[in-house]
Order: sequence, then C-alpha cells, then structure tokens
Amino acid sequence: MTPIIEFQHVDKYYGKLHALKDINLTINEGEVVSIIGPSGSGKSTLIRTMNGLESINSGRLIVNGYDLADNKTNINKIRKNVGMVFQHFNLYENYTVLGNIKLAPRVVLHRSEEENEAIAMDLLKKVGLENKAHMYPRNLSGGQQQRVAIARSLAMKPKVILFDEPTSALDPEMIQDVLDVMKLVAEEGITMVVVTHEMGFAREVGNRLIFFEQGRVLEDRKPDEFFDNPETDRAKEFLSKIIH
Amino acid sequence: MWELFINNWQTFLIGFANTVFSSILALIGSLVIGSGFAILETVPNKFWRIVAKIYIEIFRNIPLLVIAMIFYLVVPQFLFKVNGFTAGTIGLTLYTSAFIAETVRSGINAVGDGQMEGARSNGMTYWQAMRYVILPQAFRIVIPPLGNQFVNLIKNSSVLAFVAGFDLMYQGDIVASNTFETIPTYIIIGIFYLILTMPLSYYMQHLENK
Repeated sequence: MTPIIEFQHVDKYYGKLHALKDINLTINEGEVVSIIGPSGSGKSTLIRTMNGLESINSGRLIVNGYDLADNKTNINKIRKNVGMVFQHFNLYENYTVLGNIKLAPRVVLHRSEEENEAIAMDLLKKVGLENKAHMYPRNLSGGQQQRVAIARSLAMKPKVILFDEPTSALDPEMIQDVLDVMKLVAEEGITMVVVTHEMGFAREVGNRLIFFEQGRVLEDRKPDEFFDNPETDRAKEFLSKIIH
Repeated sequence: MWELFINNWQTFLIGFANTVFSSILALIGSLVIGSGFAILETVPNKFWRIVAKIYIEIFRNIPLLVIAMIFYLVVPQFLFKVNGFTAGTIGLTLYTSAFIAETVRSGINAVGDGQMEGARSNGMTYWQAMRYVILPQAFRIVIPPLGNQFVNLIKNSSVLAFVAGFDLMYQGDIVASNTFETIPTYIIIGIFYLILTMPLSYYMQHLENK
C-alpha cells in the first residue's frame, strides 16, 4: 500500500474555533474513503485541506509527495493530480459543457486540441451526457452538472479525486445517476475521498469509512464493520438518527 | 442658428473631432488602467490591494478639473511640457480609471467564489483562473455600468476647455465670444454632445436587455 495523503498531527483553527484537532490519517492509493459525520463536524474543512483550499495551522500534510504546509510547495503541482468535485458543482458559467472539460487540460497540461476533444467526448459518453456537449451549465439539471464536474476532474487524469458532499444539493431522483458515475470512477482505481451522507454508497462502494466528529477522527474502519457494529457512542447515536 | 453653424462649422468641427479623439484615448486608457487596478484590488496579496485602493481613492475623490489643472500647470514645471489637449486627456483618463476600477471590481466580486475554487482545484494558477474564468464573467456583468462610465467620460471631456484643449466646449467658447450669440452656440454644442452620447446610451440599454 502506497500512501498518497498523509496527515501528521494536523491542527486547524478558525479564529478561536478548533476545526481540526490533531489529525493523523493516511490514505493509500486506490482507496475509496468515505467521511461521514454530523454537519459542522469539520468534514468539509478536512477534505478542503487535502488540495490546499484550506490552510492548516500546524502539523504536516503530505499529498502525492508534496508537503502542503511548506510555503515553497507549488500548490498547482498538487492540484494537477488531485481533482475536486463540489457540492454546488462550480462549473465555469462562461463555457459549454465541453469547454468546461477541455479548459484545464488545455491551459495547464497543454494537451493538443485533437487529443483534448477526443478525451473530453469519451468522458462525456462515460457520464452519459455526450448529447449535452454544447450546452451551457445553466441549462442542465443539478445531477447533469455534477456528472460534468466529475468528467472535468477526470480529464486531468488525476490520481485522487476529492468529493465534497457531491449529492447534497441534488434532487433525490438525480442522486443515483451521480453515484453510478462515482462507482465507475472507483472501479478505475482512482483514489477517492468522499464526504457524504449517502450511507449506501459508503457501504457498497467505499472500502474504508471515517466517522468524523468535532474535528476528530472517531472511527476509521471497514464500512461493513462500522455500520454493523459502531464502537463509539457518538457513532451509534449518529447512525440511529439516519438509518431507520 | 443654422446660419451660425454654417459660418463657424470649421471651428465646431475641430472641437468635435478633438472631443471624439480625446474621449477615445481616455476610454481606452481608463479601461486598461481601471481594469488593472480592479484586478490589483482583488489579488490575495494585501500590499497590492492597498496600493490599488490608494490610487482609486485619490483619483475618485479629487475633482476632475483639479486633476486636469495639475497636469496642465504643475507637471510642465517639474517634468515635461504638455499641451492642453494632452494634459486634459491624461486627467480625464486617470479620473475615469478610478471609477472604472470600482465598477470592474464589483463585477469580479459578483462572480461567485465557487468559480475560482473550481478553477484552482482544476489545476489552474490564480492568473489562469482570472483570465479564463473570472474576468470574462466579470466584464459581462459590468457592461451596463461601464457604458454609463463611458457616457460620463464623453461629457467630462468638456474639462479640456479649461486647459485649452481645443475640444467642443473650448471651440464653442470661441464662437460665442466672437459672435455674441451665446445661447444658440451652446445649443449647437449640446446637440453635438447628444450625437455622441445618445447612441452609446441606447446601445448600452440594448445590451442590457439582451
């Protein structure tokens, strides 16, 4: 197992709020790690530190061999290999679906137009939206936008994709389409870190589960073990509230 | 009034041409400088933000006439010779650039944070994200207010009259003092300004409705 994301005694504060408390966590290549926990627990903060969208106050955070806490680290080098999918999609509103997918490979990787187009169309086929290639994001449903966002991440051929509550802003009937695409990503062996409320996904697709609460990792286990037999009282309480 | 115009058409036309020329120069200059300071005002580095803020506050809060006079009277004494047209146009450019900076900055701020986060997470640098994602959206948002700034700029170009810039207003003053037909002269001047500003206003409204 090769570690790709390593937290060593990481702390993060927002003013007086201690958002991340002494995080020690290693994520290995190819793992699909689900992070669950009550809202306000710091899950989003945790995942956003992994590509430097949030800074950390102390400790070491090594992603794909680069130390994020080191000022000399070029964050763009890390982000080339670490994609992110957001709750609110964040597609570029001034580009078509195809343009969204092609932009970063063109300006960051200098991929040739021909190759770029072929890869982008391939990805759109994979997420089932090749007929929407020339539409603008505002004309797509939330579920479609999120699938485009995943395709946009994949176009960079990343080693890791971070998913920050990818289905939380979607209408219920669209969630499954997005989860199906995420399953495809998992099958390709890309490392995935997923902050989610989708327990089904965490159980079936994920191979590791982190229960996060009040800025701490409370449990870090195989999903089946966690759901069948949570160790901490907080996890038991959490599960009893969400699973009926 | 028609006779007044026929008898002095060359004088008026020189003024009209200078007003148009000065306005175009100032428009281009202020758009470039103003956009530059707008971008500077939104960079992560606090030092540059303060620099931009100081520039904008200075030129936004000094009357245009004073700025033009400084360039016309003070600059030649210490730096280099400038004629009235140049001094007035520089003054107009710097004054307008401060307002354009504020306008463009509001556009940049109106583009959601998610756009920048999306672009940065996609591997783009800050400047790539600005260039390809943020600024195109920001400029689209501020087209209507920018149009207003341009209309104001044309009207404000009449400041050239105070620094001997041979613009419409200045040439009008000459006609008025030569013929003593003050009221018809300034009506003609007003019509000339309307010829410049009305189409621009309507065009901007058209863009806004689209």
